[in-house]
Amino acid sequence: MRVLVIEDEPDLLQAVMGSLREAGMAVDGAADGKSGLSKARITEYDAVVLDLMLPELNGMDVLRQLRRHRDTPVLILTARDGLDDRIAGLDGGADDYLTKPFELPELIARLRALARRAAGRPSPVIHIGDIHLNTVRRTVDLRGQDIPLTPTEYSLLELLATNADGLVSRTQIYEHLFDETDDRLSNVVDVHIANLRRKLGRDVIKTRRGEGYMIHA
Amino acid sequence: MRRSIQWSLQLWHAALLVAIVVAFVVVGHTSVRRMRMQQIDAELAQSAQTLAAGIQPPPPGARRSQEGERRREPPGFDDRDFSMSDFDLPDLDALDSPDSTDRGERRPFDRDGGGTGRRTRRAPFTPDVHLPAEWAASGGDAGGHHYYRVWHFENVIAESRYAPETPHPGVRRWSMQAQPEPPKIRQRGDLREAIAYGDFDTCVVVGRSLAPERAQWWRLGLIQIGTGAAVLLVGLAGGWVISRRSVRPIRAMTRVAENISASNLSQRIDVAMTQAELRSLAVVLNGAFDRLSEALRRQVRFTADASHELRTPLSVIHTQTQLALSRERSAEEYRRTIEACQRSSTRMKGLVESLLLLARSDAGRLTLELTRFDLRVAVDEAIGMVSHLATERNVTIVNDVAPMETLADAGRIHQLLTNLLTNAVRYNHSGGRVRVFADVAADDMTLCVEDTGAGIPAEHIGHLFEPFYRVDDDRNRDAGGTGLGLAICKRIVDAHGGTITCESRVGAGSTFIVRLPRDVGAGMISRA
Repeated sequence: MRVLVIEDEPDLLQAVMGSLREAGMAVDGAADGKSGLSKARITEYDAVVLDLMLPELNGMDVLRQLRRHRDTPVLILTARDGLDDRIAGLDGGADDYLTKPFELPELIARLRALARRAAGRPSPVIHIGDIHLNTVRRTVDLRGQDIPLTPTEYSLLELLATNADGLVSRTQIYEHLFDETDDRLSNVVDVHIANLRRKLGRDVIKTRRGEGYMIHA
Repeated sequence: MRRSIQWSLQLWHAALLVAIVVAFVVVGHTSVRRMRMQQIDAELAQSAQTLAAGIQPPPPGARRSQEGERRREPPGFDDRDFSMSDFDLPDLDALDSPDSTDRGERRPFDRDGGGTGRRTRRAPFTPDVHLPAEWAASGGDAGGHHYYRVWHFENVIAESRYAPETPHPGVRRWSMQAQPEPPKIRQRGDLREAIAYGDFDTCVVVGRSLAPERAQWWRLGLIQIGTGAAVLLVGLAGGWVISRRSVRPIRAMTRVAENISASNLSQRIDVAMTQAELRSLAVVLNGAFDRLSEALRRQVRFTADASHELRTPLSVIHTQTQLALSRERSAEEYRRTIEACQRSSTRMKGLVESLLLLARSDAGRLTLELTRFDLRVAVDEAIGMVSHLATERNVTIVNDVAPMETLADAGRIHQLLTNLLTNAVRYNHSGGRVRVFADVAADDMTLCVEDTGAGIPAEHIGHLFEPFYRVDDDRNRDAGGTGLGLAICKRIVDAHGGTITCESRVGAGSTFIVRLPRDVGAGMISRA
């Protein structure tokens, strides 16, 4: 799950990005509206955290322009807590609204909920055959047995499970698993796929040579 | 219950109405009576004169035979019918009184004797009383309340009642010249009488009872009182309706004013609906509501802005500490968190101090500690405060202020200069210039901070000194600041009794002009 945080207060941006990363998300940050909008347009994020009072380009304008190109779920995170502001934000195309100061666990939970809803899968538990993914606790069990996975392995499995029966390209995997600062080698995905197969069974993940990977529900 | 306008209107109206109705009834009744009395008096006087003029000596042949007769009955006089007691005719004693003093012997005598000169003069003959033809025709008809009596010395020589319908004896027929004196009118009990004197020492009294008039007047009075009461009632009811109608717009205005509350300040009194007198009141009230609404709107916005400004650093502290405490961190990570928290708390401290200064100034409790200091030195110190920022932005600051001793609050002036210089540097372009210069006049001094920035569009200049007002809606974090700098500058200058204005040309730069009175102390005292 990859998230973009657009926030002009550097200390707050750093803290939010840190906590989201620790929650297993790949996080990009933007300190002003203009760069935030361009990032949100280029990359397919699972969610965008958007401040309203931003330099260069107002948060509402970022939202308006983003909505012309993408349906990315947007959570407005702002100090403006007036009823009018909340209504304007939600009616302006935002999916959720959170006012500062906020609780980090709530922000994380809301972002997860937004991503689930965007994928058309509101339940926090995903069933793939005998495999159960708890997206809240980020745990996987196979026939009642806990399977220890690294955060990247879990994120990869969750991405494939979320798009079950659909092809997930290597580009998509890179886009959703790693943030912009990651510059790992391209074969790192192959390594993670191999590890998952070793832990969950060979047949769980199918390889479409030259296209990508998929999981059957 | 407090006195309502409607009730006091009604009371005044009622009092006025009662006075008018009573006056009408009294005046009407009195004048009717007076007119009738005048009419009666004229009738009686005329009758008396007529009768007096008709007194003649008897024909020579009849003179002897008539001599010694006590009285001569006029034709048609029926003694049996005539009784003075019919209309309660009192003694005629009083006939003496009107004449006893001024007419001497020519006075009517008492009927039953006792008169002083009764026996002293003996009439040689009894005069004849010639009644007018009309009287003679109906003289016997004694149905009326009128009567006459003619005396010849002490003797009654003619008396009768006559009907009021009887046409008046003729002024037309008998000359009035025989009676140069107008008859005397007197009131005797319920009787009205006219007294005239004829020839041969005769005295004529024509009278009538006022009983029918009294009854008539009584009826008239009752009718007048009844009509007056009816008029009063109708008037009161009409007054009630009118006063109700006249206070209706007041009630409507009250309702509107009652409905206006903090949550609903948009309602206004409909000025078109109200009358001219109330229109100005409605306009005044609407104006007050407008100002109240504007003040409240500003207050709400100020609170929202202030809380927004406080929320941002607060959320930094909250989020940073939450993240740091969510698991074990390295000493370096903790250090970074604490540093972030410190930055935020410093910002909050500055904001809270600014807000306090604004609040104190709004409450009129911004006190100044006046000291004497050199303005040039103060400008230099303020430049020192922003030199770091100026170097960062590559902006040159020039101090063109000549050394001059100034009496003001040095700390506040320092704050003022720092705020103005910070803005001048922040909103300047790289390589720009800021110049500070001062001008001293007889009673005030002008301090200018001039920059070469982008300038401020004219429509914003009026709002520049409002708290949290920003020229750009997008917050320019790059420029920084809380949005209170210029508002604080204005409060500081106001407290010194001066003015602060801004002149700006878009693209050329802005100049903030501070005018301070030389005699700051006096200005301050007048403000306190």
